[in-house]
Amino acid sequence: MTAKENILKRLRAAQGASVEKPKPTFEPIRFEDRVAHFTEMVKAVGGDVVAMQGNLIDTLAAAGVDVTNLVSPLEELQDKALNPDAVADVGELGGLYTAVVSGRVGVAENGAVWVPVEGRRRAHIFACNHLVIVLDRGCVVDTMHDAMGRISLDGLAYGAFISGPSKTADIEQALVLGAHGAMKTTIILY
Amino acid sequence: MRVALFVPCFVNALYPEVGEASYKLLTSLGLDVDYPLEQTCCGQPMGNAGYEKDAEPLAERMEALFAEYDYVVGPSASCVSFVREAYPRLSHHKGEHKCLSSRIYEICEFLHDVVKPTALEARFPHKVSLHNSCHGVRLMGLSAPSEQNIPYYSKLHNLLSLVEGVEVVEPERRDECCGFGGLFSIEESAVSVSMGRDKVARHIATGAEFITGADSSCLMHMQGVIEREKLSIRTKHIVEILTAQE
Amino acid sequence: MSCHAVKAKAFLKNEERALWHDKALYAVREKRDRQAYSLPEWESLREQASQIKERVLGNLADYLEEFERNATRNGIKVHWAESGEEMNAIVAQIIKEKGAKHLVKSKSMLAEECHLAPYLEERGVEVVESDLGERIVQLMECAPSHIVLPAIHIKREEVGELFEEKLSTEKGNSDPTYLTHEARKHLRKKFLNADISMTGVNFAIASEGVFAVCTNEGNADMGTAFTDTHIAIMGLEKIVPDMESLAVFTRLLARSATGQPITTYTALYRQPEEGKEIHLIIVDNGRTKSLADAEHRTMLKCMRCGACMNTCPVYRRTGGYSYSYFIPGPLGINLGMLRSPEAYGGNVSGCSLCYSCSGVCPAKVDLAEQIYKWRQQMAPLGVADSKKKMIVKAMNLMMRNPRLMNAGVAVAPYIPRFVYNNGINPWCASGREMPHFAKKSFRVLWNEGKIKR
Repeated sequence: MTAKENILKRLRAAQGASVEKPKPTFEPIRFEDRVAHFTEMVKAVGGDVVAMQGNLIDTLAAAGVDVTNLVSPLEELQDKALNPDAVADVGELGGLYTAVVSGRVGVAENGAVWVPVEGRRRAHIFACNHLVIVLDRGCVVDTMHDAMGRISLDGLAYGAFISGPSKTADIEQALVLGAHGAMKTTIILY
Repeated sequence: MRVALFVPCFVNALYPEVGEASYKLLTSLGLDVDYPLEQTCCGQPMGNAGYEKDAEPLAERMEALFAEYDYVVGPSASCVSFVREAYPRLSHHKGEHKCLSSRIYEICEFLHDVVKPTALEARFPHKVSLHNSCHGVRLMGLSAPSEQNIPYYSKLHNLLSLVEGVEVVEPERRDECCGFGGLFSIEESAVSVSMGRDKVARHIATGAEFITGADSSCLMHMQGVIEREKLSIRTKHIVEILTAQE
Repeated sequence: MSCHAVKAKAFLKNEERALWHDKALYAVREKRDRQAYSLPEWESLREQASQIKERVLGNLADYLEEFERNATRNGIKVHWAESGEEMNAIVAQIIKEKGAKHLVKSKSMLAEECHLAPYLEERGVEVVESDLGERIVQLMECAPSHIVLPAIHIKREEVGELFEEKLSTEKGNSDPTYLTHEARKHLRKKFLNADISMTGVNFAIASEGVFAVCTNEGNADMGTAFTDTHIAIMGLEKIVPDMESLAVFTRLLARSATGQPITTYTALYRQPEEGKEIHLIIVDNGRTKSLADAEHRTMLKCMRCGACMNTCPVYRRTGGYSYSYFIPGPLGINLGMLRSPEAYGGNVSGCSLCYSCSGVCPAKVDLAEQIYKWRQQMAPLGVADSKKKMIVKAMNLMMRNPRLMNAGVAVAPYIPRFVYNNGINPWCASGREMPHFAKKSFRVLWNEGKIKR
């Protein structure tokens, strides 16, 4: 018998009676002004939220981003940014730059944004110094329950909910931003 | 309604004044209170030490002693919660009497939920720091446990509000364990004392003159720390405050 | 004394440090409370999580098969390991096949459980822990003292000295921001140099064949983004049925663990990108045995948030190393007993039965009730403390004989205090005075008619 067969056999002997999957018994929290709460939460987790002003590149510049040093798979930045999928070796994405990506769903309760990766590279999302996520303000939902209902995994290799910049408190519980990934996270709402 | 007073073993030997105040408190509310003799121990120390089965004869004895009463009331949340939790497993009582576990109450709980007095003839013009004991809070529901997101309530606080002159405060970390824990206090004595010191310090930091609560065992442990370190605060069981005439 | 009591006493010798440890962890508990209080549905959410896990445990075989089917369809290579040794061997085999030498890994309690890192190092593989806390304890050559905050017992000055020696940081600089950013530079090189990555698994979603990895630092995702082969290891209880369930658990995990509304990164791995591979190893290592234990199977609901440790007044004051099992606190006491009562029975005394752990657990595991049950099993299992047994026997004798007890109570106040209130009595030796026996017990006063209305 294989390990799998042994394990499954033991599980079937041990797991006992099946119980039904529970139905939700509660109404998740709702926010009066979802976008305002989302903004508040992004700030609480160390990120920033700005509104789109004109086009994307102007908004980036206004947010203090060095627009000559961008990595982005976004269509509209193709002449301004390095496309992560275009690099031959992923190691080239290990340096210092700002990454601009597209978010699909914002979650008001925790400031997280769902960032699906449709290309073949995702290293820029984590290795960058500054992560900028562009998000439609109409796509902000209340809670993770709503978010899970909105996201589609079909055909996707990878996606992540990202809530603020990389952080750690592993030295005496002192909060430090930029443990490995982005030191800064900015959400641009349009 | 026939009410029996359950005076736990150590309260009987160390704190007869707590038994006395309990009796006074219950009778002052017009209750007919009896005290069956030959009470010993409910068996909690054995249970917490890992010898719950050894408590069986004690459970049988308690069931027999208190068989005739509608309510059994004791001034110790911890002992009462043990009877409630463990006796359905331990006592093989038969006949017409319901298992003691369904008839036993901690005295404050009994007053608050069953007797529901609207006034007490008590006066205690002092500041007291409430000791929310673990078993009182988390097993018995005397107050809202700090871990849970439920509306705040405190049965002890509600009862104390009927006492004239008393000022009630709660320490920082309002329901953290004081470190008694039955045989834990001996087996893990270093940790037990460390927890006791921290707890007493937090009670003292409130500026209260007294630590009060519904569990004599916690108070005993803290009193031991207070005396060793010659601290100024004192412990007093809540029934003594609910019957005080200062 | 139990082995926990001995080590706890030693830890408490340094009072200032014990106090510091207690405060650091209580602050985490308070952060957790603020999150819990901020959600009106918190208690319902916990109940929901508990019931979902109940459902999972009762159907684990089917869910695992469903998960494997979907994950395989997505292109993930699924392996099964009955034991830690089997898991280690599979990992080593994959590394060998890939010709890899440098493994960068994120935090995994399963790896600790199976002693994976030393196993691989013996076989010439460089294993780099990429979580900052894990990296600190790895460089210090010690074990994590907490499952979520591995270096919580180490002071900043000690990290400063360690980094000065190992990473050539500035002498005397122990600023956490400085040290974290130096570690970032050091680990960035390791990420770029790695040829294989490893992560744990927080949740495996059966309906999708997808698994979730949650970190705050982004170290798991850095590792997997820069390497072509990703090995993920999971205990077989990590299954959740579907995305709806994942919503429940992601709402609870970080709030309970660190008091954050969600971990910074909640990554969902569905399939390897072109030219890359994901291997996922499903590990038993005693879990099916735990599932068969009707009294204690509820422990398999645990999602490893560490909230029970942060709230435990004993853990906070005694540190992770006072427990002999690699997981400390209420969780570790229980998991140690499930692993081996003979080896880890010495931790069961480390609980005052305050029940706070049961109240914070996001999956509503009744940790304290479980410890109470284990205590009852100590004697039948033959691992009980003989002194404690004697004390209980003495209590039995007294309490079962009212006449004996009454006689004792009558005599006690006349025994000179120094006879029992002294350094030999462990009650006193540790820093307490004995209580005072009343001249007349309540029973005597009652019989004398002195108890009046």
